[in-house]
Amino acid sequence: MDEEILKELNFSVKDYEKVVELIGREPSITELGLFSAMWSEHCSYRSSKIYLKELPSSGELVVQGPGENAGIIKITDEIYLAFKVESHNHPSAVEPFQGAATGVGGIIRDIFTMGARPIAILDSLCFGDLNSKRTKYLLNGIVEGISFYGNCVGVPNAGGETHFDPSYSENPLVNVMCVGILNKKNLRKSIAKTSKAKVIYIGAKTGRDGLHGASFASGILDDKAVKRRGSVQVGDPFLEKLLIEATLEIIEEDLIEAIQDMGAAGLTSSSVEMAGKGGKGIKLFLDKVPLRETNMTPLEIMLSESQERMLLVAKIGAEKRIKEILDKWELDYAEIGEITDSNWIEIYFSGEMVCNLPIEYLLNPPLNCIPPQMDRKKLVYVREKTFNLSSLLLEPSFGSKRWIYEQYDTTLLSNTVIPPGNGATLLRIKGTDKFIGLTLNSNGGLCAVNPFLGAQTIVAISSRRISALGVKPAAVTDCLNFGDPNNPQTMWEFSECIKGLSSALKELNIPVVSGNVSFYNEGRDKRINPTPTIGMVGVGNLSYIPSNHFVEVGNLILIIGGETGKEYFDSEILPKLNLELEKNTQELVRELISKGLLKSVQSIDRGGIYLALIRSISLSGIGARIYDFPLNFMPSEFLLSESNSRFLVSIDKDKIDLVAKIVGKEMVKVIGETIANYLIIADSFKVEISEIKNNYERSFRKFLEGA
Amino acid sequence: MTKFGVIIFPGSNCDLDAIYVIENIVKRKVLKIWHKDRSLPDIDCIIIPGGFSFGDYLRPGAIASHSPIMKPIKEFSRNGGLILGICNGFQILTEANILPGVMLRNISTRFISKKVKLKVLNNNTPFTNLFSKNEIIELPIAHKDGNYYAPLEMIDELKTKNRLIFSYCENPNGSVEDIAGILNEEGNVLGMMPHPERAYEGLLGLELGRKIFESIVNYLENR
Repeated sequence: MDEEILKELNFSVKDYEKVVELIGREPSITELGLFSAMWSEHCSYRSSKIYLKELPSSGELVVQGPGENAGIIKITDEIYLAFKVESHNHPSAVEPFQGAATGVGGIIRDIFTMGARPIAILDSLCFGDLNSKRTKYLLNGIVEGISFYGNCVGVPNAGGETHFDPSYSENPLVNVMCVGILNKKNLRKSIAKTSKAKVIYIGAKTGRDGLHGASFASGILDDKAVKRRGSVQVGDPFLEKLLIEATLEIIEEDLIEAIQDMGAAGLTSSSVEMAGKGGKGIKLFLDKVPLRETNMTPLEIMLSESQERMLLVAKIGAEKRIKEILDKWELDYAEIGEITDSNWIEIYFSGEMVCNLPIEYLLNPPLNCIPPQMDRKKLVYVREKTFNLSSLLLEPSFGSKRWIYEQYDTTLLSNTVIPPGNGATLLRIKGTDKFIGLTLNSNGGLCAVNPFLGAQTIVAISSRRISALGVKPAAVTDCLNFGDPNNPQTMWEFSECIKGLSSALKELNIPVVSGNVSFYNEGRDKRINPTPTIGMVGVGNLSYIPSNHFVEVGNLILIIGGETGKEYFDSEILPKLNLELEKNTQELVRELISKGLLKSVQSIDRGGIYLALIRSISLSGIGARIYDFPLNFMPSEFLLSESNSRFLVSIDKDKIDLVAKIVGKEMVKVIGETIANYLIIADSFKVEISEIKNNYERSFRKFLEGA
Repeated sequence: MTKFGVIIFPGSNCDLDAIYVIENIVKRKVLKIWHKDRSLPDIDCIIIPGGFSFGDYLRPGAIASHSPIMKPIKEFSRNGGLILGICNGFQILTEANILPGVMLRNISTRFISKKVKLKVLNNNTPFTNLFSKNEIIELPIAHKDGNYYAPLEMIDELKTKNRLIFSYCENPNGSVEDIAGILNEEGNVLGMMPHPERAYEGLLGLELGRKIFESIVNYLENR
């Protein structure tokens, strides 16, 4: 085989030799293309598989764990929640608008494919230095792309997070999570079970866009990769909206037995996986695939990643009704093949067989086992920390990200009870007495210094944010963003993060139900910080919903939970984490909420008590007086402490004894009270509310718009 | 009992909320009406919901305004039937020349999603009779093209004939005279950019949107 072709397909000589050994002959070019896609890191998890097994994945509420298009948990006996997070980092690095937009489109397809109506999107974005021109360019494009796609497709945004760190300057991260709701009876999977069942292609026509997308995502972002701007797909949210409605109608009428979207590796992965999971084979006739370009080869058709396409396996006899529904929504479709009993994939084009392979070979690539090895020199230490409270207020990265989320529709579907902007979002589930909490978090800076503790801390913070809403952490979806897996240091970071996640999730009893691994996040000379991103869902009944900001003057302000220490995420003394304390504190806070004792609740995490205070003040217009501090603390050291397992709450003055009795005296510290007009911190700091609001709300917008 | 119809175009996405409000809050019947239908069922009030009909291709509302259903809608309007167009529904009504003016891109050029304060300028309409005049209400907006524009003479006419129904207290999108909602000359068609169908109970933080639907029912059932 020509080495140029192998290079083009991003397929190693070693893998090629393995293929020849497996099938006992030279593969055809189309066959080789299928192997390159299915064996790519992106599709096969060949470097990460053995580690992922360590993560807990079962629990009372789990209906569907990892391995499907999305994970599913129970909300009630009849109503389920489907969710998943996925990365779209490389496409967003070379073409921010379309890269981010199609990232949204892709994850939404994973959700409605399961029979669920998408009800929320969350996005975690990591950029390089805030001051660089490239960051501004990427930020504008990525936010606009998410806004363009999400708003038009009609799925409201339920929050997210934004980080700035030089490690992401060449390779930004765009992780998008989607949540959907479904009736138990509509749950569909990607398992083809019946031979002779027809395979129906629906949605956009196939073009050359997104060609080699899976292998593009499975290599580093070098100059050659950047030139692959043409590899980035173009999204059409209107078409996706039609696909949502048509698919949900088809599922509601119970017309299909399996379904999968054509995401990474397009027609290849969807057909191979559906047949493979059911222990079946599949026959495809590529002349029938709707094309938008001429002279496309079978290889190009199989590997195209054109957006907004789905592959269905029809129930026998339901084909006519399916087509009627597709006609109603004016969607393109074609019957392109059928399920067989053979366990092989056979592909025909222009009357010739161009591929004939056992599916199991495609689904089981040789594992890539690089022994993890720590190189201490590569651990990044200490960035400079600002302890100046006034100047922090002017810091764009500290300020409100309203500029971002005001470009996203957040009220559509009228479920939003606590809107984005405060760490976690609360939605109600219509037709039930349940509420769900949603949050999406990472902390690459901390993971770069201590990947084990970093990963644990992200789980702790996510669950703390969910508990602050009053609902119980229920399940997790994870997006693991790392560098080149062939680098032992990357694999050390990866294995440490997995250990951290796994231990924290087990201790807090939260299973992982879906996820995605994104390796090769490297620029020309820079690896990203190891960045596991955690999407967490909480579920609960709420008879009382506390506010996420102060509600009246004259309330006491307390810290509930662990000690406040001189520990900070960006320092040599990292915040310790005691998972048992974390768990107990969260349980106690949820109990206080359920008893209606808390006027407002905020998780204390990044930015410490200070950021929790600033948010509480700016959202409410009610001020605070903070009393004296422990003697050995400067005010700013105390307020900016990022010690774990703490909540900032406000309560009626006469409830303090009751609260102390419930949680125990050592877990409560009264630090101040709510007042009008000012934030006053001991004797050292006094600012007007209007100034806080002005600065906190506008610093980020001002920075980006330069006004 | 008032019967509502919600028009569904490919790309409509606020239809579910409108249907939910009508069924669960004002507790009246509602029918879904497909954009390709050539006649209307027996209904008293049409809601044209928000969303991105036909993906906003060409201009927001431009393609939907040529859908087959628009012919019977125009007839319904001529016969005095009540029509409420919300967001993309308002854009469709201007594109169909049922309401005057055009919708330009927001002055920021960006999509804007937030709560806004509105003033009820005219409470003597089928849609606003349960508000008091000059009442300040809060509703969400979510649009990229809500910057209302019409020639000066038309604005003067809208003003003198009390056809300006809602104005923004703080103009979010650049629209002329802070216009957020207008009425047709006959007084039976209201177009508005803010979303009353997302603001109907305390749990959501906003609830005065329901009064628009209750006003419609009040008008039709008690006149």
